[in-house]
Amino acid sequence: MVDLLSNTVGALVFIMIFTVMAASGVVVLKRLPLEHKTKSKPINFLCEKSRIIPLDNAGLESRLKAKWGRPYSLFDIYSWVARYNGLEVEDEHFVARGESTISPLSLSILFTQKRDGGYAVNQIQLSDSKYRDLLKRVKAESDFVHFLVRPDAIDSFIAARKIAAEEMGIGTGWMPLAADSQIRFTSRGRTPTEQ
Amino acid sequence: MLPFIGLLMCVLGVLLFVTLSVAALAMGPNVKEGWLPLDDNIRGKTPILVEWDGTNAVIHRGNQKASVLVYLTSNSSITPEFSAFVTEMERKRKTDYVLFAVRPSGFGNFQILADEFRNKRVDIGYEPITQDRAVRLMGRQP
Repeated sequence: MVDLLSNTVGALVFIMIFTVMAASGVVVLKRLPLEHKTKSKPINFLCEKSRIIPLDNAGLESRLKAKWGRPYSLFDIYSWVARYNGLEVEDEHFVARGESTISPLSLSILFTQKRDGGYAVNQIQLSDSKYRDLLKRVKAESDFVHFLVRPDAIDSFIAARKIAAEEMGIGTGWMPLAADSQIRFTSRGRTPTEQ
Repeated sequence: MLPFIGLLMCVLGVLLFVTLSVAALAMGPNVKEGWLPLDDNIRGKTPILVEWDGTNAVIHRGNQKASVLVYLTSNSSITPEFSAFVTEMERKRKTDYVLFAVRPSGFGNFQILADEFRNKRVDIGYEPITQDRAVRLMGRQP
């Protein structure tokens, strides 16, 4: 009977310790690095809901500029700038639309993600996922992975960053993005930073 | 007599277990997150945790927390209270840095807030956290 009592009390103490630990929260070990400027090239991904969407802004921009062409003459400059406005190119994940104003002179690109573009966060975990394939092509010494994160995609971002940083050893950075803000790259925009 | 004491202890233990389980479930799992910067010693700077929800900054100093209104309106500059904190961090920028816990409601204007520190060459770090989860910094505290 004493044995039974001892065992029961011991088991209950163990359960109590476990319960108290569960109730008091978890300790998350994080590197939490400082932000720093970098000369590495950002490889951008948009994290939205439960999807990780590759944003090949450099590739789309060069295709947009190739489509835009050059001015026919010096007198064609204004109409050449105007022709940039509304030009569109697209890839598997995004539509890139050129935007321009003459006064003041400015050029920008609006990136709109396609429906069902990118990869579901449960797919990126697979060893042969397209996300991992993309990361394998990233040069860790000259590139870093930069995430644009929507408020509804924190868990997706953390999962994607973990693969890039911890499993593949690539530098990462991120930028919070409001739920309704558009993705627009301008020549005078914010420079991505690494963390 | 002894078997009854054992039975009584078992019943009490089960009741205690049920009570604690209900309490744990009511609080919800993972209600608190403790961040432990792993490279804290490497960088040699002390993190000051600041929670940002888009309106208020909750500044952690050891076990004390102070909530400071940052912007009176969406277009206004920072309040004098928060300006004092920025100035303090500027003074301590060689020994301290600001570590932001950015909540979803603060995603939209976080960069404007962060620029207040970047412009004063105060080092920052930032990490997202869900809207309702409590956070605290573990390890070395100011």
